[in-house]
Amino acid sequence: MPALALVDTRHEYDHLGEIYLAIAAAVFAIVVLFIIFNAVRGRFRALDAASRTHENNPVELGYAVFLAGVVAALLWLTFSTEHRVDTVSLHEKPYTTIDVTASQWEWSFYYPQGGITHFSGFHGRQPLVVPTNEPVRFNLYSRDVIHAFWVPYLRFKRDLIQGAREVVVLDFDRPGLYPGRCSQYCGLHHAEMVFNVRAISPARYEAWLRSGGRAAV
Amino acid sequence: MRGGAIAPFVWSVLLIILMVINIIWTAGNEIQAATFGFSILMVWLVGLAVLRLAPQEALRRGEPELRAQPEAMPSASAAAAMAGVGLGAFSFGWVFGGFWIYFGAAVLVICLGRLILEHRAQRAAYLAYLRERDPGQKSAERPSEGTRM
Amino acid sequence: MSTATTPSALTPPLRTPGFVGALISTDHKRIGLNLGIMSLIFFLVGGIFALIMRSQLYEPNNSVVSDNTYNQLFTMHGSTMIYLFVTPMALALATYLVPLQIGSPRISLPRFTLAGFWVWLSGGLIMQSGWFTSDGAGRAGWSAYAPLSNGQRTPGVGMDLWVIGAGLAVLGMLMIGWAVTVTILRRRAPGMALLRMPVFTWTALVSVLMVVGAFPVLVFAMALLYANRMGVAIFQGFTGAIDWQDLFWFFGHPVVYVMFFPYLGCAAEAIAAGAHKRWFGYKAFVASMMAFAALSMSVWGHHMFITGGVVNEYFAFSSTMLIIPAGIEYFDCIGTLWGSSARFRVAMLFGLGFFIQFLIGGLSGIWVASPTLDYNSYGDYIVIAHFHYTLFAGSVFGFFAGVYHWFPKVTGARLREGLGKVHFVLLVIGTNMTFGPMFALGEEGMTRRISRYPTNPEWTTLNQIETIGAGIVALSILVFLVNVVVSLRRRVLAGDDPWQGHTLEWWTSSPPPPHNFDRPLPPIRSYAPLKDLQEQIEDAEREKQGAPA
Repeated sequence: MPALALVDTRHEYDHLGEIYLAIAAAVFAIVVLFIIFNAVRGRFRALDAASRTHENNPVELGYAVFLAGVVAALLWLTFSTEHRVDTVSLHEKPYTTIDVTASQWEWSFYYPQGGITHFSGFHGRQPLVVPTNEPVRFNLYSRDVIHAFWVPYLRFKRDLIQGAREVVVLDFDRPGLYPGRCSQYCGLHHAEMVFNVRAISPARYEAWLRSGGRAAV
Repeated sequence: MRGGAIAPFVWSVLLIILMVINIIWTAGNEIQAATFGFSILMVWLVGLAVLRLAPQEALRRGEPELRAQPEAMPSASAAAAMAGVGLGAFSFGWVFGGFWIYFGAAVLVICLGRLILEHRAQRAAYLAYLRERDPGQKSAERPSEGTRM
Repeated sequence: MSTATTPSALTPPLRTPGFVGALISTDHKRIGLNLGIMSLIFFLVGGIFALIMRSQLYEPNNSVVSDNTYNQLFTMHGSTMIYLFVTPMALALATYLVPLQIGSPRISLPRFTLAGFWVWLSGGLIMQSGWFTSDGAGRAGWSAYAPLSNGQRTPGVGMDLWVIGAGLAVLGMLMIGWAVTVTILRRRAPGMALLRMPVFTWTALVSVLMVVGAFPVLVFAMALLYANRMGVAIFQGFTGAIDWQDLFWFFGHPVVYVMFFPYLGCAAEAIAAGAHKRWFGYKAFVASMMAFAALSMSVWGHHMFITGGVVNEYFAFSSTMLIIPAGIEYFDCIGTLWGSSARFRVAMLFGLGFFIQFLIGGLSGIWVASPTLDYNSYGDYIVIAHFHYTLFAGSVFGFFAGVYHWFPKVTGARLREGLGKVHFVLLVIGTNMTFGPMFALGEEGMTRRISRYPTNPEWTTLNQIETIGAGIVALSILVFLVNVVVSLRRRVLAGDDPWQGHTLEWWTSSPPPPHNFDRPLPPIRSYAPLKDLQEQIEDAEREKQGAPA
């Protein structure tokens, strides 16, 4: 059993997203109920019977303070999650490193350990092969315009910008075939800039590397 | 105008606070600080313009008073409209070259000249009106209200 | 009172303006109307682009348009809607209404405003003229990211025209924004202190302050981008790419709020009138508008969370902070409805629609303000859904609230209530069908700005719902246009004050005379001077009837 990766972006996103979604749904329901209830009740009030109260500054101030508390709570949750996704993950010892280079409109995946380069995009559709349950380090490069490396399954994306190397460490929790695509508009054939991720067990991954990338995955 | 300059200045204080937080938090990101600072300067420019036009009133709180003076106002200005079109044609010329640049620049220059003439005529009409209203008396009133902003 | 400032001796009686006369008039009402009408035409043009895109996305791997055309369509859809419809329409409302609301006979800098309108219109036409060039229109997205937008990656005259057109359009709006700012600061009627300005005027003031602060940056950035396209090395490498985004979004985010605040003001005025109650919590509202506008000048970096080029935490902080002022706006909306005598006229319906629908956009905005959540949502259909809920389900609803509220003032005739309700119901259905499923599509991995998607039954279904929804939106806009034509042809006269309005524009005739007010203004003791009068009359009547004190 390989050591489990520490940071799972999918899990982090789902966990934080659940909290945000629950709060948003509750706020939406409460506000809409208040608006509709008061408006409909007002419909049955005589025109000259409308209240003339038009200010309650202490309550508004209290409400603002309460909202500031909500902001603080949300920011604390977000910052601690972001710390794990952006910082802690980079301190994990990667099991393997893959260089991802984007260009108009192609992905190239270079596996230094096997000396293998594969392509996906406008021409060809070779998958990005990764081991499961191990931290995988990606060096992200762009050869021309800005692209973005996005694997929806991981709930994570990052820009690839020419002139810099972005490093991310990601973890794939189970074997499978996951679609990925460029999500930063990059010109004429942006729609074609897609790839698949094939996540396989580390043992099979090693075998695949030894086969020079020719073994079936 | 009472209190006119207060709004941009108060607002700029909020911006300055946010800019300072930005500078500290980003450890002095130059382009962000420069852009932020530039925009605060632009907001100050409005406040300063109002301050210059009404030095006595602009920062004083309270209600605006009745304007005692009449003022002249234009009802149409072909020159202003054509100046806008001229600037458009001139910029268009950067892409399609030659003719449009010269045409646009000519229209722009002529219309800017026209605007000065319009402004003078407006001022002359205003002064004529003042003379007619108080004949034989050199008006001590500043005629500026009629022409400025 | 204000008539004292406009002696007729100085201003020759206006001729009924002919076509040319209307185009060169320096009357703020004429300029505002011209700007509004042209913006509305651009809205229809941008809407047609959207409908073509939705037809393309009706089926997977569809071929209604080519990749190249699709890229131009989404670029021009975004550019048209932002540079040529929602923002200028907000300024058109401000240009028309602000002098009336503050009891001024005129706008400051009228010639400057007029020139601004023509600069903006030239820019809009230049941007659209790209369609007639051999390379087609701009195709680098409305945000024209470097290095994609440089001369090598997106060559062609159409893109040059886009850059110049966008720069000019923004310059024109900057000029108009300046004039409105100076008007508000310098031209308030006697008695109208800053803290007695109507709610809409306050929303307009913070918007034009943002225009003054942020729009020069874009004009500057577009000039640099043009030079960059001509081969001057400006936006090079990683730093250059980030610099462009910093400059662009420094304009690009504030403009989002310029596209929001005045429509919030429209919805607030429509709701206050419809509720027969003055807007609740005025002072808190004004304070929150100031904070709202200041914060929204400092949130631009949340468009750059995934670049690795900004400090995400600062922008997450400032963006999430927006909860506080936004919460106050909603509090004030509910406070206004509380104990009200609400009547569901169409303007009121659109006002309520604005607050309810925008809430979805606002809450999803808090979602994307969290960097970790944005790592997934950025650049996919969640973001598309989010900002269409703010701009379309929000601002456009506020816009229609304003149209139904002020149409009688501008034209002297009422819009038909029946057709208006059909328009409202269709628009609610269409909006939610079009933009609701986008949240699901984004979560399932559909990225934005793609002309084709792979065969996937679920995606296909969602996309088809959206396309049908877009058709319903188009139908509702058609109903609106019919309503306008019918109401203008067979006029139901509105009178000066059909809604028992609260603010000074309802004091004058409909449409207002050349210098806005032909009779002395009422005393201005609050932000709702006409409501004060109504309440005085009510009190006097009650006293006469001998009601217990």
